Amino acid sequence: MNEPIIECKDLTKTFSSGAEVLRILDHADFMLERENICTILGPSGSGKSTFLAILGSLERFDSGTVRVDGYDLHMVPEKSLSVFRRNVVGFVFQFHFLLNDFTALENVALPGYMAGISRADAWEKATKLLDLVGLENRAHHYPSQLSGGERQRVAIARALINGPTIVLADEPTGNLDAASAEEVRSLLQRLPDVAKTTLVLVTHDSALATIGNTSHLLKGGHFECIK
Amino acid sequence: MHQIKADNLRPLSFLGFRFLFGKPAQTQEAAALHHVRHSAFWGAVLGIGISIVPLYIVLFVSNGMIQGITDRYLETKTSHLQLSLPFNLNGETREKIQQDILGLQDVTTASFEVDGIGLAASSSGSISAQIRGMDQSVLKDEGFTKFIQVDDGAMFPERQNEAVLGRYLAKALGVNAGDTVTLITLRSSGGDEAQMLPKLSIFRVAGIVSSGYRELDANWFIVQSETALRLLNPSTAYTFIGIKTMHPYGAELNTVASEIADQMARAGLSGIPGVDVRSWRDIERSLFASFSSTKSILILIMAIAILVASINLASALTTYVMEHRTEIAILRSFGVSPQQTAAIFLVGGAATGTLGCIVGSAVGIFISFYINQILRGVQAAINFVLKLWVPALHPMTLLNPDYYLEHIPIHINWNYIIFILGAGIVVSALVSLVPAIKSSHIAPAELIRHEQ
Ligand SMILES: Nc1ncnc2c1ncn2[C@@H]1O[C@H](COP(=O)(O)OP(=O)(O)OP(=O)(O)O)[C@@H](O)[C@H]1O
Ligand SMILES: [Mg+2]
Repeated sequence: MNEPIIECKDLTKTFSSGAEVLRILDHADFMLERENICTILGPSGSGKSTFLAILGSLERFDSGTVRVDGYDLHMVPEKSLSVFRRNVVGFVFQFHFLLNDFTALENVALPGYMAGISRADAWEKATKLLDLVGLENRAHHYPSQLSGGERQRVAIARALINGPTIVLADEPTGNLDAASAEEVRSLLQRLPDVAKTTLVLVTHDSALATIGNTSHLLKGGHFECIK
Repeated sequence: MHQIKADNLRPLSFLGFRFLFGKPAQTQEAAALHHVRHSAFWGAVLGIGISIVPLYIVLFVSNGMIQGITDRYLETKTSHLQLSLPFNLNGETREKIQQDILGLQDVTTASFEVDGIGLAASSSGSISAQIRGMDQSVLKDEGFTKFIQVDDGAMFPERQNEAVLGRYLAKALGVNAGDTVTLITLRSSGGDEAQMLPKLSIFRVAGIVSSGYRELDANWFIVQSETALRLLNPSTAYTFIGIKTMHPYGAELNTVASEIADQMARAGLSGIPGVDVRSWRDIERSLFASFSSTKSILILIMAIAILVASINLASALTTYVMEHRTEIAILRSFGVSPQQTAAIFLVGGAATGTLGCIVGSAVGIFISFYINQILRGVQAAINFVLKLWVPALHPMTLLNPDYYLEHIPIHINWNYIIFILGAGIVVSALVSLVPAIKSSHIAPAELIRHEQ
């Protein structure tokens, strides 16, 4: 499978605060093949999170083309972005962002249920995913009853419920202690195999950075392939 | 293209309910915490409920009052139709007319009455009296006997020199059944240069009655019609046949009225001055106009109260949306569309409103249903407390019987209930549009730069 799942050409993204224009991405090119793990490194403020947000259609860009799993993101109308997010991408953030009023199982099932899967199917799928992340016995616990590492693993299970082709993870171990980070790391490493997804991973954690098949450094608005 | 399908509504309401009313409690502490966190919603539910309660009470009580007062007017005084007659119409003609009217379909009774003004006096003072000269036949009128309560003695004077007094007239004169009262009327002296002369007559009080509404019976001085014909002045007295029918509130009343008018025309009586058929709606027009305008104003005030409660709901929801931007952004990040987030808050808002309306309706209907007992209880409680403070105090009444019925007849009208519930739900869904639209503007990009 040599067809790229992510293809960015001439990608430019600026933020203007007042008179000042911040050029975060400056005619950047980026390419990634299916079922790979790609780590993105770079100094703080270089635009790594912004880039992930663009890939996940959370953020718009100024110019260039961004093609993700066949969707030309510049061309997708605002209204259809929900469909893209629902079907193509799964997010894992530095903060787990689980809904506090829902159990682990409900948190995982919710995106599926909201996407139109029947309740029984969504709950069944969520149970399997909790099994996958090793939390089958915590299904009925609320986020406040879970450890940081467990919450992050629930968040990873949630990202997988709609069978995304890409998982975008932004410093998923940033808030975790070493032991929890290790659990999350080994889980992420298995994702392309067990969930047939491509993983784009932004991290400062050098141990986590080693799981990438490829690695890019974002600096000065450009990507530099370092692995 | 994404659209909200019907089968998509279930997950939305699952989310909406959980957001607004919280998770099922796991532990005691969690339940307690939860109440605090979501109290804004229970507050909104309560606010709507509380604003709806008086609406029901006002509607049912004012309707019951108006209905009760109307019934009393119609049954004890005005009758459903009145055929006015000349004062000096001879008795035979009058009886013939009465018989003809009784032959009409729908007519139940037709009683002759002569009304006029006089001054009633006793050793304790004098007071103006509304003289009602009536026929014994009213005792066969079930409407009349149903509403007339006899405090003392008889309901109707058996002899020419007997009178039955309204409760408050008797009280003002300080008389009981068996006592005597003097009635002063004005009567022309007769002859060409007619002069008004006062005429004094002495009556034995045969009974004391009440219709349950003081406005109506305060000055009643009931005598036999022959007596009234002797005492009253032909130029100021009012002579009529009071007619009762089976359907006083229906359109049938007009049919009966025109049939009577036809009969009068056939009998060659229609051209005579003073002969006229009128319905209770015409006779008591101003009274009922003032009732219904009072009711409209009350309902308007209540509607404003509901609107205020709905705005409270909208502001509670808006605050909630603003405090939960992150959670909404999370939903958006995993593909929940702006329309879906809006729908969550619409469903949640409408549910909150509906719950409030149902609770308020239940309480409002309950209180309305037992309003008489509740008022009596409250009155007794107040009087008990007041008595402790000032033992000499006269017991107070909450509803002044001069203007209100002593017992409010309450009929639960399902149309009102359906209307209030429906309007409450629609209004709360409408005001929920504001937070719903606000929630749809929250962008998921916020998550990227979220500070924990
Ligand atoms: N909405 C915005 N308006 C203005 N500037 C912004 C906005 N969002 C991000 N930036 C700026 O864009 C730059 C890139 O931000 P981004 O969060 O992508 O960096 P990052 O590489 O993820 O950094 P970190 O490693 O610290 O997370 C930063 O300098 C930031 O201040
Ligand atoms: Mg970042």
